Amino acid sequence: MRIFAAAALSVALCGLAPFHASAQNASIPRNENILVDYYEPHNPELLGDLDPTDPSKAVQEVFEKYRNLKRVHDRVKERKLLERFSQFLAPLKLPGTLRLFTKECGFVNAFYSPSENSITLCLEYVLAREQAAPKEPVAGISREDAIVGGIVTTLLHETGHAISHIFRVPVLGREEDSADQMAAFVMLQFGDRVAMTTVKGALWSWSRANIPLGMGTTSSVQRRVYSDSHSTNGQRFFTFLCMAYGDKPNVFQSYIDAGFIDKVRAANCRRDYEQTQRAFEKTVLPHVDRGLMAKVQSATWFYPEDMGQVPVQTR
Amino acid sequence: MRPLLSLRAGAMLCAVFFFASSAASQPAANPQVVIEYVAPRAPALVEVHQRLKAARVLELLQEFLSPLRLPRPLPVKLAECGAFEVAYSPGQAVTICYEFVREVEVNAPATSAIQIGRVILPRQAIITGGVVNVVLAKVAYAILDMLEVPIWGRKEDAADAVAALAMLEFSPQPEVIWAALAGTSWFLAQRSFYGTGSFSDTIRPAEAQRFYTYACMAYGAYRPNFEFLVSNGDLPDGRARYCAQEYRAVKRAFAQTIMPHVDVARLQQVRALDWAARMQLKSDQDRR
Repeated sequence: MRIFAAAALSVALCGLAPFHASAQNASIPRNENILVDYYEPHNPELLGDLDPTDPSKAVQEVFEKYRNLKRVHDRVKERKLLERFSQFLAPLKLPGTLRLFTKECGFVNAFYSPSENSITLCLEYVLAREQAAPKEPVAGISREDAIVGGIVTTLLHETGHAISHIFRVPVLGREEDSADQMAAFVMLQFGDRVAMTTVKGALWSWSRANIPLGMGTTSSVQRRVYSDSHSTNGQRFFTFLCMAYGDKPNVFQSYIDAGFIDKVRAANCRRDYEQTQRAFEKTVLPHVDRGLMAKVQSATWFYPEDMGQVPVQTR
Repeated sequence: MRPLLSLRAGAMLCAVFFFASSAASQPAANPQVVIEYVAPRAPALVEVHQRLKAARVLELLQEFLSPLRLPRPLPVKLAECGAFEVAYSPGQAVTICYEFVREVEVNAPATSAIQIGRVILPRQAIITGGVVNVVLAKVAYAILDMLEVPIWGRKEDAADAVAALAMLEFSPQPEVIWAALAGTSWFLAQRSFYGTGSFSDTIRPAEAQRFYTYACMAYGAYRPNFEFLVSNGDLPDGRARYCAQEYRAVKRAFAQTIMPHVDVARLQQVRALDWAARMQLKSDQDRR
């Protein structure tokens, strides 16, 4: 599933190498209970009655934003990102309709709406990922790792919320951690190369977004961060890395050696992974068509060229 | 003095506490819960040991857990650990450290009573609530393991959610709910935040997050009673608006995963007991 998303996103968002879906992928159907739509970004000429030839800075900024979002919109639509994600989710035995949207939101985010039963990937979010990605590899994380992995992680996280809601999955821990664990678990089911790319993207996201909370951080920031239903970005970084190391210690050993995670925590990562694996098998797997899942897992999708590099510096 | 957010020291309450176990009928203990009070070596902990033993803390736990069908023995002991707490290992006893209980006592309000929202609670109720929390959270962790409950999220958070739900749902007596939640919140707030003003530096982030978990569950379950948490700014709006949803999600997950292991008829009997008296939460006036 993740391979598919990685492929689709990497092409749609990065404009890298062309997407080469294998014949196997063509045989995987789209999930019939998933509807997709690409909302056009808000055209200021039509909606705001603004004149694109108006030289004022404010108006030009509005049109510049529109053009950027329109470029993102056109790319993901042309590359059939959501159709492919629907194909990726084909094994899910959905009892009703799940909607996948890309649209202009007015903010940088992606979210699942239980009332609409929809996952929205904001165009601003995709744009922000592109803008935040490194031009050159940093700590072994390439530009495509950062963009593809980050967005795949986000889509899978929101899908995790959807799965919890739709299938009434019992979540005794924090719902946001649960969605992260579902994303991380799925990301690890498609082979080492895909795991490396997507996990690196997730690590880039959480390390970049981390808010330093040392001395001097204002109490209001601390209160906002610690009262949030999401774990801190630092905790989310460790969740993904620990799950990855727990499942594939040989692949991710270099991250432990580089000091990205405490060795005491690392020693318990296998246990954390197995806890999630058991929860997945008990609560989600009954809603999965295993034949289709095997098909999706065995399909060969596009792999970004730059992968497998690992960080060498110690934090 | 470290702040307790909006939990302010307040009026004195002339409360007299009783050791009331003899006043209530004795329900059957869960035979799978095997308890032990291990005598400490450290002189400073001897009194803690004696007090907990006299209060029959572990016997009450056995009775509280009597509706739960456990597949094998669950040893629970109070012991000197040489540390604040020890992690649970599958197959081993749940160990609640005398040091932890002492920490609860050390962090208790300096005054004999405090006002929380519109309720005045004696210092002893705050201590009792803090001890109830550590016992419930520790035991919940082991029970989740023993019953092989599927865990999404961190297991520690799941144990806290189960403990919070037990506090909110188990007894219909308001004094039990208030003492348990106030004691928990007080202790976590004292451990989490440092400074002289509300929400100064957070010195233990994980415990700050736990504080918000319990506060959110309480607000989600009984919004009118815990509205003050939001109006005082202790529970930010951004979190508070989802608390009812969080509470319902935990309640449903509990029903799906734990309730199949519960004797419902027995649970009703245990819920009907006078837990306020059994936990020594009733004042002299209440008992007359």
